[in-house]
Amino acid sequence: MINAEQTNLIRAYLLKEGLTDSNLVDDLVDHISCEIEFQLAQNVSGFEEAFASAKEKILPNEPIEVENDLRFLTTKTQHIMIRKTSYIGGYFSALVFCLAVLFTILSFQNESLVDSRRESMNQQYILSGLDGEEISPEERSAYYQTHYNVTSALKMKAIKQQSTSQTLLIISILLFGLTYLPYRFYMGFQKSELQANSL
Amino acid sequence: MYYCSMYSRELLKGILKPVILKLLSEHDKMYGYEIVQHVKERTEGKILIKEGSLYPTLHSLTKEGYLSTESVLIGNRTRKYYRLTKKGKGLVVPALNELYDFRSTLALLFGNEKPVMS
Repeated sequence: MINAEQTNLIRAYLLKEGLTDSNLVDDLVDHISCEIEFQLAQNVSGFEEAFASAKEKILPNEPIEVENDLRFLTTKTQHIMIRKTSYIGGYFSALVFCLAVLFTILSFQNESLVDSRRESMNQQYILSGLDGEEISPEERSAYYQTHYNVTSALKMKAIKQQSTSQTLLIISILLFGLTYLPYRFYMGFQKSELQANSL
Repeated sequence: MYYCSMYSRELLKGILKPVILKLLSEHDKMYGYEIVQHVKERTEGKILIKEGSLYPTLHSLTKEGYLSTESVLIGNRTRKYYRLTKKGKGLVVPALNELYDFRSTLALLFGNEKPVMS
């Protein structure tokens, strides 16, 4: 069996190669040690040669790749959760955005309705004036009262719809910014990191 | 490279989990090196599992709750034995059934006989 100093050499090699997962390091130290002990039992070589041979056999590529693979496999569930959250967030963001657009359209419709009604009432008023018929102050007051009743309620409705639309738009932007956008950035970062590691 | 054997990596990709589950269902507990050697012996050296794929898969199965570990101190190094949990035992039969079913489906497509070189 290899001694404590030799085991420490193996561990130091793995740590030097950038491995940080202590469980994985323990596994690989034991694995490399077993291979070295097997080779030593065959009386093929000394520790140094057996260690070099074991490294070549067990970790022919960069040892850190094992940890990268491990990280990829063990974070898959987390990725799925992040993806689900971002897609749900993105979906609600789109839904809220559509509602905001709908309220904006309704608001504009009501605004134009108010304008057209006011226009039509003004036309009516002017036409009445053009006919040369003088109207009494009471009639004038009643006219303005009707003018106000008919259009102001609609105007208020349009303003409320506009305000709702703005609130929904803010919620939509916040949802998009807090769920889907970080996911896209995260995936882009992961991809660039993987590409950097594979260089 | 994940595997070094007479079979291509593409063919062997995806069977590691069933292989691990099958071996651990036959043994109470096993450590990594033991699994590699066991597969090598049973397949007459045709399948050599590389450590670069074995340990990520073992750790992934452990994290998912299918395996549990038991650490034993050997000299001044730690040997981790892997064993199936109750959840893992429940996964063995479905995983193997899927593999057998896949093998039968492949036979429908390719037949059971080796093609003759013309």
